[in-house]
Amino acid sequence: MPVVKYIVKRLLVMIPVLLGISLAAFLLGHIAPGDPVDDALARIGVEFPTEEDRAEMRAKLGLDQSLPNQYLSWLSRVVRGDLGNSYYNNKDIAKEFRARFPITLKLSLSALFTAVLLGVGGGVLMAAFRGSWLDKLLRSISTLLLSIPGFWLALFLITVFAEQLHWLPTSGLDRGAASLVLPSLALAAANVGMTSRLVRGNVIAQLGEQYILVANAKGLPQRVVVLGHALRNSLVPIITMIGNYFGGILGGSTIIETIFAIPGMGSYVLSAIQNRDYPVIQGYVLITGATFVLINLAIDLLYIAADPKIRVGGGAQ
Amino acid sequence: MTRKPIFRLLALVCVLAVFFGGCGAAQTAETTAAATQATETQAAETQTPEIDQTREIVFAASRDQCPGEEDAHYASMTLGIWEPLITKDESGKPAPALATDWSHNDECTVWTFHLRQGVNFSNGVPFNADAVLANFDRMKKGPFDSSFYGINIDTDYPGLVSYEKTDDYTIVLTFSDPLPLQDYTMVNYGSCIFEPSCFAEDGNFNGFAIGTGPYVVKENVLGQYCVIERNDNYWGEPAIAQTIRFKVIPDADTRYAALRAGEVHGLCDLGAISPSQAAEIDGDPAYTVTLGTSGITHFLNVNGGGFPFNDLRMRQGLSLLIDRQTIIDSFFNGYNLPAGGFLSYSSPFYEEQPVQHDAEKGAELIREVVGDQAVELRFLLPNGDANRYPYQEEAEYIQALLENIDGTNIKVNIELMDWGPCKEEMAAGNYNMCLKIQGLPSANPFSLFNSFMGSSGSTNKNYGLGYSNPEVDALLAEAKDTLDANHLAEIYNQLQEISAADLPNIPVMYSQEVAACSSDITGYEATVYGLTGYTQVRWAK
Repeated sequence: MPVVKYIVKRLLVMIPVLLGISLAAFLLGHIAPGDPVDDALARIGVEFPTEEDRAEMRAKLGLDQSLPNQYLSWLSRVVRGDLGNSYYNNKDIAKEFRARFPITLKLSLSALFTAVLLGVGGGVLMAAFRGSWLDKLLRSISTLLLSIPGFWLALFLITVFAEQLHWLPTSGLDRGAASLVLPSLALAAANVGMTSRLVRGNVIAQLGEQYILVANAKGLPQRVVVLGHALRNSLVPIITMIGNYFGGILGGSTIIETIFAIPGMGSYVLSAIQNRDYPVIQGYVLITGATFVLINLAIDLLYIAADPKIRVGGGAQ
Repeated sequence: MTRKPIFRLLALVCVLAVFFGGCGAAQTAETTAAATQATETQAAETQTPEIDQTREIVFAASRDQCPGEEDAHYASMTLGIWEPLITKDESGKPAPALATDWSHNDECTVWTFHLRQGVNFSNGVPFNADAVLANFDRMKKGPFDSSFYGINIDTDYPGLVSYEKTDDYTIVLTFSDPLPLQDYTMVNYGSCIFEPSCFAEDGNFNGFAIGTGPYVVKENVLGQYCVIERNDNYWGEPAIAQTIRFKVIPDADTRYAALRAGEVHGLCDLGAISPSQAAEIDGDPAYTVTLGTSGITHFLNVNGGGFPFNDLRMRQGLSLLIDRQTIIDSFFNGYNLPAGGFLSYSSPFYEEQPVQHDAEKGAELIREVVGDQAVELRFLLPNGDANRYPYQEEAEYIQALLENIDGTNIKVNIELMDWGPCKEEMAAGNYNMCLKIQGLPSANPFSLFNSFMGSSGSTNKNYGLGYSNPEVDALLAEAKDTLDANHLAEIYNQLQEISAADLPNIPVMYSQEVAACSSDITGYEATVYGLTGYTQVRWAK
């Protein structure tokens, strides 16, 4: 029951956090220079608008009202699940996010899987073979992955695996799981580097602990010692990092989605930013904010599962 | 420590990697098998077994070619799903499409259109006056958004009082004011016709758009791809390729890689391929690069409301200083044409203006204006245009020209910024130069002239051009009241001559559409908005 109380409390705390996020998103969008009115007029065939045309469109979009009024009006609709319509193409924003979220989720899970598999796997290998040529090689690779910009790696992967070798598609989602390989690798690369180094350090630290000595003395197989004891006791910081990373990519990776022609939330918001499409940007910030808060909650709950010493409501028992 | 567990872990990684890749491979194999089976069946049916035209051709574009039910036109006109009443000929003048001929009364307030007979929509419904009137009913529910050209009855048919049929194949439009160039306004997107049953109550589409064109929509996944299929009951010459897929690949580098990888057979639509990429494959027998006309002109906008560009000699001097051909050759790989006049070369009213380059004279004129005083010029580059075109290099070239004029002390600061804030700076007069493209929104250039050159023109004000010429205002007023199309053409000629002399903004280049395709297909030409579209596209082997 303490866990349920804890979850409810955390969910209630979400409300002021999300309000703060929505207000910040709203103000940032409106303070930034630029005016969506001309673009909205051009979309309906008014290429050279007069001041009257602009005033009419401004009123239609509700931009003639005071900022507090605009914010409250938007907030009252959001509470009812209505994120409004895009200034740019007049489409229902909530509907658009609903269509794009599963695509981004699929990409995020695929990238997370890649990051965990290669990051944790690589980190354990490095720790197990500390000081060997394999450790040095993997450490160099992890540094390289950390240093390469994602967009550059994306183009490199496309050139090698799609253009030259023809093994994988350059873009799109019409080749099933194969379509996700390159974007997942590009998206996960930096995290693989970071996770593997973190896992290596933590596992090595754990391998020096007395309980490992005891485990070895009991004659436990090395596999059990490393994976069952050292790795498990290293998990808390790793879960935190991976959780934050997942929250980040679930919000949509704008550049990777654009390069790989993936119609997810990231590419949608990138286009919205270019067009000063405030309602889309606000909706996006709200969704990603909520995602982060929920993922942080999930991470906290995972701590409990990963480390028995952590208990809700106080210190170790 | 034993290495056995480590090898197991490595083996697991390998198995998962193979599985992960295998999923795609398996699916590809299934798709290929299905496609092969379908192709074999279709090939047996086709009458020209030498070149099987039933195979799917794939194009890639930066945006949806079928933006769907909430777009005013559902699909780009080039796809051939729908057709307009009036299209344009090679010179850009109005030409018959679904309307075979038209006329107007002496006052240009009543326009009569005779419709093509024996035409059916792709679903078999006959095309007639009732269908056209239903399209006007729909238009009245607008305006409708579009990623191509929006539908707005107030701008496309200004002052439309009534629309009615006099028989099954004749419609009459009555306007409150004279519109001598209404047929120009109706060209292509201005007079699109759809089968009325595909309209939803609110005027959007209730499913795939249905038109009279040579293709029909077969599949549409927004943001990813659309597939069109040949309309075998087309009233005109049928298309050749049976199925064409249009993929959305927003990134130019990825699009190019997809062509090189053989995933797509052609690149289409605006900015299909960058000039440097086109130059890279031009001459390679595996690819075909084609050039088409474009309505886009690259302008160097100047702040004529403040020193030094409020002095005509400064604008003329800079125009003479710039070697347009050098810019085209150095930064645009030879694509584009030097521009001498305001109006695009693709306009039916285009009148060629001389392109002048005289660096010495240009420098002399600038020296006369600025002397040896220290002058700082703020040169703005909108991000969107700078991403699409090599504007940074072009701006640095102009910067070098201006900063190296003997006897002057000019310093040019180049600033990249988003178009929103850039436009605000221009409107406030906080700039000196800005590179920007301008399209040709209508075959009737009146709004373009009025907006840029009229003393109270919206673009004149918004771009801070500060241009005012009573002669131009008088000509624009005359154009507004003129009923004679020939006289209008004369006025437009005069406006072009004045713009070439006064330079309210400095034309630099006329854009050319560059498109590329694999040599596996033929018949594809770089036409952005034309009636022929993809009807001639076919497999070459």
